[in-house]
Amino acid sequence: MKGSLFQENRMADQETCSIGGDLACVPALNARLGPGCVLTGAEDVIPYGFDATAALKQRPGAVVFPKTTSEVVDIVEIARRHRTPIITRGSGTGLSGGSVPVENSIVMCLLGMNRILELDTRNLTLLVEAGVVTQDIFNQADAAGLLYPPDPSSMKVSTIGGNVAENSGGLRGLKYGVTRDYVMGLEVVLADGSVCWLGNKCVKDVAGYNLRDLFIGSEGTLGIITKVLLKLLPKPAARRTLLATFGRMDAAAETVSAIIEAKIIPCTLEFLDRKTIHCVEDYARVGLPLDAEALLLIESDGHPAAVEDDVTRIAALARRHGAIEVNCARDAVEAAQLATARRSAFSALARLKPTTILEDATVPRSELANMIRSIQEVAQRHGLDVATFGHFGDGNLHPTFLTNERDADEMRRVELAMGEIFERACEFGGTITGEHGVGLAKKPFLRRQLGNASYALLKAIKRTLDPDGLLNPGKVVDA
Amino acid sequence: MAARKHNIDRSRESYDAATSALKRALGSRVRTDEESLFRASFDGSKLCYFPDAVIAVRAERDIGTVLALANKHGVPVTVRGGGTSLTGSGSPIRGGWVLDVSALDSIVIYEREGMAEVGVGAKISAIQKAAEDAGWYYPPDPSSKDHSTIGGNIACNAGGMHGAKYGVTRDFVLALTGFLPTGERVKWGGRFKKFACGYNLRDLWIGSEGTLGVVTSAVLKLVPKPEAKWTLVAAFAEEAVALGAVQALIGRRLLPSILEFLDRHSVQCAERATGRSLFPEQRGKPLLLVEIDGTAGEVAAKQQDVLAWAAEHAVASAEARTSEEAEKLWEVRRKCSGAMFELGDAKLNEDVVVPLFSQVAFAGFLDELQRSSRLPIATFGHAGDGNFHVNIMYHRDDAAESKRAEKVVQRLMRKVVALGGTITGEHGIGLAKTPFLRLDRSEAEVRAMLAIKHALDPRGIMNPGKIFEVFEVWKHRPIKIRLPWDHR
Ligand SMILES: Cc1cc2nc3c(=O)[nH]c(=O)nc-3n(C[C@H](O)[C@H](O)[C@H](O)COP(=O)(O)OP(=O)(O)OC[C@H]3O[C@@H](n4cnc5c(N)ncnc54)[C@H](O)[C@@H]3O)c2cc1C
Ligand SMILES: Cc1cc2nc3c(=O)[nH]c(=O)nc-3n(C[C@H](O)[C@H](O)[C@H](O)COP(=O)(O)OP(=O)(O)OC[C@H]3O[C@@H](n4cnc5c(N)ncnc54)[C@H](O)[C@@H]3O)c2cc1C
Repeated sequence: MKGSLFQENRMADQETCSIGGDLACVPALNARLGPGCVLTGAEDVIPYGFDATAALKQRPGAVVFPKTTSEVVDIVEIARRHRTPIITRGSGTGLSGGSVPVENSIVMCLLGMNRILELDTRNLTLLVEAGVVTQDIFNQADAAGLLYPPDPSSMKVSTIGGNVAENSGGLRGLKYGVTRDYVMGLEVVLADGSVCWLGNKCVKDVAGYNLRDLFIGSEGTLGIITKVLLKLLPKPAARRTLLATFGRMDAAAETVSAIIEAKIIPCTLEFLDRKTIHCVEDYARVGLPLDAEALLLIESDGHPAAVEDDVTRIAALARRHGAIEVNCARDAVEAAQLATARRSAFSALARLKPTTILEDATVPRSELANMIRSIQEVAQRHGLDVATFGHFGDGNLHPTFLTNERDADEMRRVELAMGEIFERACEFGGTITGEHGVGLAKKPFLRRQLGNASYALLKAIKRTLDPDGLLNPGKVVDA
Repeated sequence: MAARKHNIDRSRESYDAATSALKRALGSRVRTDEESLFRASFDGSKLCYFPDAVIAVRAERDIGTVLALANKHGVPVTVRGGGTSLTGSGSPIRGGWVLDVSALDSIVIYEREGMAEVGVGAKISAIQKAAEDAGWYYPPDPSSKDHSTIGGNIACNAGGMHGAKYGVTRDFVLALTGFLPTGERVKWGGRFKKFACGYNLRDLWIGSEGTLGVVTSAVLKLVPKPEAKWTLVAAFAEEAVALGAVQALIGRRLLPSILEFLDRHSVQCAERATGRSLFPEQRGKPLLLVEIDGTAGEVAAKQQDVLAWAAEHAVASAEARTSEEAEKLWEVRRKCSGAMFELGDAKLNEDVVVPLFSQVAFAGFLDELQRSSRLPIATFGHAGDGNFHVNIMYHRDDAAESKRAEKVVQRLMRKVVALGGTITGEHGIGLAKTPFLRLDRSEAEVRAMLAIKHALDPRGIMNPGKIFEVFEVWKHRPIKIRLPWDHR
């Protein structure tokens, strides 16, 4: 790994590093949007200079808040005329630096495009603007007796546009999949200002190339997503939550394999290691067992008969594979508490040290125990503090380094450790990122992951759809 | 299938020099005898265009060699799996080389993970069998499953009867390996469920009909094999009632694993072909076939719900508890398509989709269309997906009928797009649907697709002439040949 990511970051960290302020296109933006929707003051734009990724910052030249697709189109036109880059932004909860601006750029924040346009309870679809917060989508569906399954831990804050742009996962991924699996259609503004409507309310569609899926996960580099048509599911009639405690991490990993091998697909299979358990308990106080090496949070949903059956079998499998204790949540309230506790893992860990660097390595499920051992070994060797949790059912781990970005030596070691962890993930037949995307943070690892031919193709596609490099330049690949 | 002399279009370029170079590189794997060329000259559409050579691929690296030479000499390359495509997507309309990948048919089931790793030549029914032997299940099941390959299913994003509950091929593809048109080997995804690194080219390949590269292997997701199944067939007074009942069933949130519709023409054709009727008292009435799967308890509970639904909407119904009984009920669905040729010697078979809750309106439109065109239009399909196979039957030598058939297709396509639907749900564009692509897709979208095509395939060698260039299928005569899946 060559990229000295953190050196660049530290430079950017000095808040005086760029002045950005007077972009030539600001008058045109003001004229089109009205002054209230354009921020240019140095203080005003600072909050839009970073996302949830540690140690990445850059002040933009201006921040704009469009309210309609036609305003987005006009902003793109103006930006094109002035050759000013656009960084699309939702809530800025990204964990790979995807919405961190470049110098003298326009941040286009879509939080003002937050209307729910149509809930179609017959076709089971929901049409929303891109700035709608994920939790609001879940609530809308829930109120109609329906389910929107993707539930990233950040769902109270993140936008659906950001979820689509990152193809975010969540706790229900094992059974229900990720954001992509629920996107039926997208309205996208391309770099040339044209508007495409990709998809429809039909379950099937094979007319021409699948452009919709190309925009899902494209991290704001190929187009600006302005509307999303989502698929909803009937709400499962029953749901049960289990908590299994293990004295050995291997036993937890084996239990997961055994559950899948028994052809049981719970909706949630989340893992927390010792350090994460302690932090979460300290933060959320839900009574997690503090003597455990590993904890599995398991949820099964579906038809009541099937759920009962699953829960009994899962509990038996966990015990057989060495669980110290298996507890069933007594009621929905307790189940919700447990899920909330799991969701708070990242925030809980973030309280410990000034900087939390969270990774997103994904491996075949059979390699989970090996991968966690590797993470622990690497961290120990570099004298680093690491906590690991994640979506075990998907093989998706979040090793989290608890560190301090002002400690240059420690950051250098974190960087080395991350490189080694990625290397190991690749060796295990895995990937460097399962759900957080490449953005800036994983960029140095992308070529290794993809190989030269695929990497070159990514660049070719970027150049094809965004020849002037207007959209979120420098993310994912350099064109 | 006998080879016979066929007109080869002499006006187009000859690739003799390139083909000689190819033979030097790959030896006997390159076939140029008339029989081999003929067999590779058409797909399920029976639109026949002779290639210059067929390459019987034995190992992945052969493909790299072929593509490198094809790029150098500008030779068109058409990939061929099972050759069952119904749109002409597999017919080598510009000649050149046909890359036959059907021998890459390995199947490995990862029992502990619920995944399968397969070579693209593997037949769907073989994959299903291997999965089921291990207690897993691969749901996408196009009716062509005994003949079509997973490579073709991926290239066309094939659907099937289980789409309503389980989705289509795309929903089960975790990773793809293969070659870019330029001959470089690539891999998208792996034996894991999530990846978010870089653009999603896996899903761009799926459904691109062999125009963006050659797929060589795939990792597929499997699901637990459902413990129990139960099937019901119900007859309805008329089409609009049947499709209204579909809406009512979906409204009950039952999520059947199969929900198939047959209109009265389809039922009558099947009845005549088999000499049997499921409901002798209610002959020739439109039918719905409903299957419920899941755990035994779940199926038992849902079954009551479905029976209550049938009592409310249907004029007759019959249930199947065993797979043999179910098989009998399914016969009508399997036989109907082949039996249609008694209504005309030519068929324009469409594959349109309308949103679930536009189905009743769509039934009304089809009624009107038959009356005004005076042509029999037999419709059946995957009602749970809103995906209908609309078969416009006519006599080819009757000029007036042919003209009306063409008009009917035009009106049909405009209508489905107006209803918020799409012109093809599972067969793809190929040649047959090219006149309608721009009806369904905006100019900006087609431009973006062409830009992507150019970025991946700068010399334009992969399956040229498909998707984007207009081909009026009704002006072309299919060859007369009987294929293994033609039952009649
Ligand atoms: C505490 C915490 C927990 C998290 N848990 C999870 C989790 O469980 N699973 C998971 O997958 N992720 C998780 N994340 C990561 C993050 O929340 C997701 O990536 C989320 O989808 C980002 O949404 P956002 O609206 O904040 O997007 P932003 O951070 O604003 O943007 C993310 C990227 O998307 C682009 N983008 C945003 N909106 C659009 C648009 N409309 N059109 C085009 N491009 C756009 C941006 O340019 C940027 O590249 C977590 C983050 C935090 C802080
Ligand atoms: C009787 C019958 C019933 C059918 N029922 C259904 C149905 O229920 N649902 C449905 O969706 N379809 C159905 N079809 C259509 C057809 O079977 C599908 O489109 C199928 O996916 C084609 O697979 P194949 O292996 O025969 O591909 P082919 O016909 O050989 O090829 C189809 C296209 O895929 C490309 N291709 C093939 N393999 C590769 C590869 N490895 N890499 C890149 N490109 C490749 C070809 O170039 C061509 O463009 C049916 C067809 C018949 C004849």
